[in-house]
Amino acid sequence: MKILVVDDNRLLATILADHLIARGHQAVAAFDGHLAEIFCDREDYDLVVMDMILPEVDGIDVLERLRKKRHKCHALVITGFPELREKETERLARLDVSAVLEKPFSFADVDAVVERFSA
Amino acid sequence: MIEQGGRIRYVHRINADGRISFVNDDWIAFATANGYRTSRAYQLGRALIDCIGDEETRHVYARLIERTCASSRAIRFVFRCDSPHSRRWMRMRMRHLRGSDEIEFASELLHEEPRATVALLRPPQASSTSERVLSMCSWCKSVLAERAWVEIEQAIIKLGLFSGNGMPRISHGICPGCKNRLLAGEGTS
Repeated sequence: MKILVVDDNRLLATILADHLIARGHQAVAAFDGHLAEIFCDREDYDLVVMDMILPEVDGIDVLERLRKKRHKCHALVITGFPELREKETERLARLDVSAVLEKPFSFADVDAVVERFSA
Repeated sequence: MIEQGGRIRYVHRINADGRISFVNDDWIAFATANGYRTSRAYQLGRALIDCIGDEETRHVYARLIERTCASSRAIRFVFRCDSPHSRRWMRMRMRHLRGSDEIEFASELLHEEPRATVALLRPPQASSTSERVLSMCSWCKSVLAERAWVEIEQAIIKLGLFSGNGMPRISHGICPGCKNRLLAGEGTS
């Protein structure tokens, strides 16, 4: 799968992308929402792993922009705010977010979601 | 009355469910003096987290409560508690009460200075709009402060989290120590 990992914590974005590469995927990391949008405009990704809270423009806002541009990639949202997940349930559903993982997660949690999309 | 060193202490406690289980008379008097129509009967049983206005502060308090439960040490920090007429600096002490499931929050006024009256201290907002970003490790809950990852109570002091106006936004990531542990555990380092 072609996967974009978006998280402003560079360490987390990088090790997650590295892990996905080690699992045989093509993965790249973007560290902010603007960069993520540029990446998606240039390339088609099968899956975007998107942090919910990002500086300047939030992850969900980026997903909204991507959907308006007819990007059809799967979306896996990651968040450290379980409360926000509940608050944004409706919006996440509207944006066709396929899965939400709460931080801290294990790589196995991510693998399980990715495998579901690969099938 | 709970008073120490000549300062009045405003005390409230929460139970294991995070609900207010005790407020002292001074706490009620302080709230009333600040324009809140409240009573002990109204406060008891309320979820503390519901009394906190913004997501970031709720999140930090939730982490502090976890830390307090996990430790026998008290956590102390200075915070701002302004009124429309004055700037106020207060000190909080959080501690897990021995032999019970309760956590006690005891605050006292350190310094107060008058200011021109402002009608509304903070406009209602869905989430923080601060430009500042606080990096928190989702794995160990430490916080990046001045290039070092420290416990949240240290970060509150170092970064003056509760001493200024508004909380920074919180960005959850991973610290280098947890990265190493995670990679070692996953066998992919």
